[in-house]
Amino acid sequence: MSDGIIGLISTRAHDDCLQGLTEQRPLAAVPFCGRYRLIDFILSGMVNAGITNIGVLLQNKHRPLLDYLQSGKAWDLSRKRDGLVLLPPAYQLANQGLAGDLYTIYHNKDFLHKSQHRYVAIAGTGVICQLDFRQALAFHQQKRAQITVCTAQSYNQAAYCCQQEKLMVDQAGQVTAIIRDEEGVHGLDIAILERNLFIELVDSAMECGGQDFFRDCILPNLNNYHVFAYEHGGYAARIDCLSAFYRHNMDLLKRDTWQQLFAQPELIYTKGKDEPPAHYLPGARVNHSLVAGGCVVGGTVENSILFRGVHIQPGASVRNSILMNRTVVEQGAIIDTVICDKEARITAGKVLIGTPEAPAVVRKGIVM
Amino acid sequence: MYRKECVAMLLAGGQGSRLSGLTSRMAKPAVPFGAKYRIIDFTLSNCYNSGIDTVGVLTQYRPLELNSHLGAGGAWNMDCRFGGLHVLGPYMKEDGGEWYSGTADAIYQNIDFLERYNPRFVLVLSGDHIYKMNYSLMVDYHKAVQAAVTIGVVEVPWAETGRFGIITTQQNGRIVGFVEKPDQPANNQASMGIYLFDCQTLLTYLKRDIQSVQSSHDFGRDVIPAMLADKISLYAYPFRGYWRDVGTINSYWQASMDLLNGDTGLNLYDPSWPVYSADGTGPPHYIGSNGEVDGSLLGEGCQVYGKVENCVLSANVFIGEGTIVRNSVLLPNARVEEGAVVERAIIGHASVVKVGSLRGNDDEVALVADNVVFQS
Repeated sequence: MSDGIIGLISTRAHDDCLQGLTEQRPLAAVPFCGRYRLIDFILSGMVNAGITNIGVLLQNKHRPLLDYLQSGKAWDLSRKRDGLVLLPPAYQLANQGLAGDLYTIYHNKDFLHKSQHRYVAIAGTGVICQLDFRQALAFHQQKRAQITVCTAQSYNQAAYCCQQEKLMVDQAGQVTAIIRDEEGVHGLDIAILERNLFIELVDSAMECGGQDFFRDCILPNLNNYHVFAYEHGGYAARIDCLSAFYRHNMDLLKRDTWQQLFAQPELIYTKGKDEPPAHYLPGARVNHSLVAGGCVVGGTVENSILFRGVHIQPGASVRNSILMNRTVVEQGAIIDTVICDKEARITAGKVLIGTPEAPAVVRKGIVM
Repeated sequence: MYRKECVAMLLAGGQGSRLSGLTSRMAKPAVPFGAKYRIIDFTLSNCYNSGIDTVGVLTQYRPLELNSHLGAGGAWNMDCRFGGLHVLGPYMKEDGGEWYSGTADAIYQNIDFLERYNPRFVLVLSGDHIYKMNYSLMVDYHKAVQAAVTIGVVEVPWAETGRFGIITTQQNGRIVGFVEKPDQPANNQASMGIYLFDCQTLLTYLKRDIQSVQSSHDFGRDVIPAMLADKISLYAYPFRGYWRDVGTINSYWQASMDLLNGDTGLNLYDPSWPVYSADGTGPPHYIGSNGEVDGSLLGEGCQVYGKVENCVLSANVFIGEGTIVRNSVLLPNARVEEGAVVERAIIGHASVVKVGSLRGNDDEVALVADNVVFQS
């Protein structure tokens, strides 16, 4: 058995947390920062660490993710051996209302059995970080850990909404308890353990009616196994509510934050489309913004993120907003602190204003 | 065995010496253009959009950058099981080998490739031009007039006629005269370097031309005139869209500026005729708090902290604080640093304008060649 790692990307129970944005797509497929999707970060991290056997667990609403990932070619995962494997949910899932990933993992155990690799790295898509899986594995081996959970001292923006459980870690790096106060570190929803142990934990948790891998396999077993915490020192952001989504996107407009996440030697892979370059019309006024390819900008844009193919007509004004693919803002429209899902349209003269705690959301394809 | 109706042969072997400064490290068709493309992308996309799935790309001068860009042709949907994009470089045979000595010689040395697909027609193209064209319409025309050879022609400004092969035709489109780079042009109808041949006719004349010692083995200078002399039926297919040869610094600059002008007729945003390129995976570009962008095209990954007006910026270009850049074209990774002023210029790959000002004038566009640090 080689020393390699099988990657497993899971969609967790609480991933349905971004209101309109996760209405028709899983969290993994939520667009982020101008041209990425949340799953790109963890996929790229794994690929950059040489993890090329990656299973993506599909739950419900998975069509957009299927459509996005396809053969995995954009992440170099369309391979003769290993590569990307899409792991479908079991039909029973819908009927039993099972929300976590455990049932889907159990249903797809074959994927794990067939692999030659010794370890499993399981990760959610709700935390953005460029974790170094190689270093995490080295730490796991060096500590002779049975389970390594990846952690961070703090997130980039303290804007998490759900009460986060934190982990208490002792001097030796061992995780001793779950707590809910100032002390402790944040879990990044990433764990590394041996494949055999992984399967064992999944099997026993299933017998006891478990639903979520982290909650039902790892956390109850802190005292039964050697569970260590590998600290990730770089950028980490948890996207668990609309306000967090908004804040983390906006935060990347600061060059320092940008450098932390994107100016690493390892690339973040994403699927491209053949859109033409961004075109600024005469009279466009844009500053402090990120603009993706295919945009046609004629109006005013400030402190905003424009995804691919967005049209800002002359006379339109966009501030503090996130506009996803092919959104159109017509002449004279004024928007401030708004998130527009794909192909939204803000008609001429319309005024739409949100707040950072509650950005206005225009759902996919809606005309306002 | 299944045969292809039309196979394209794309001549991409030249340095483009009049574009030197931008071609020190790559063949001309690989030179970036239009913020996210390379010059060859236009011809390749035309092939795909016209339904041609089998293309031989003839390379010779510094092919590394070009070949890496082409790969197996997947970006233009030419990574096929039967057919597809083939890179064809010069090669050794049992009795030695030669570099391609002319456009016709390059095709002649690749007769095996043509015979593999046994096409009815061979479309010879160059990888040097910026245009959108449906070649299948030219094939329809060729069939309708029962030509053995059809040459794509376009009207060029009279001042430029000395750069092209000038073609004289009868009313019905039949070609009666062809002169390369004439001193006294008879008209301003120029050959686009797009030749559609009946395959058998092409092979016959190539084999004959190779035997001739005086021949320079060039389509325009040797093969076409020989066909004309033998009264082979040659017809001119008029093209009325936007077409530019970007073989000189000034014409490259002008064609770039044309992209910023909505009226030129080359619409990069037309979804019915997209221009494809090998994917970039760079991040969205960033406009800083003091950045200003007006009337320009920007590629991915650019960082703009200064003022950009009427420019074309390729990927990862850096425009520093307090700079002014106008009417210019910046190739990938170019940098304009604090306080510099650039006007009417082309800045090559990874070059840096460190301080001072760089200004072109009405006659000459200023050029900072690839990988140069410029300080005035």
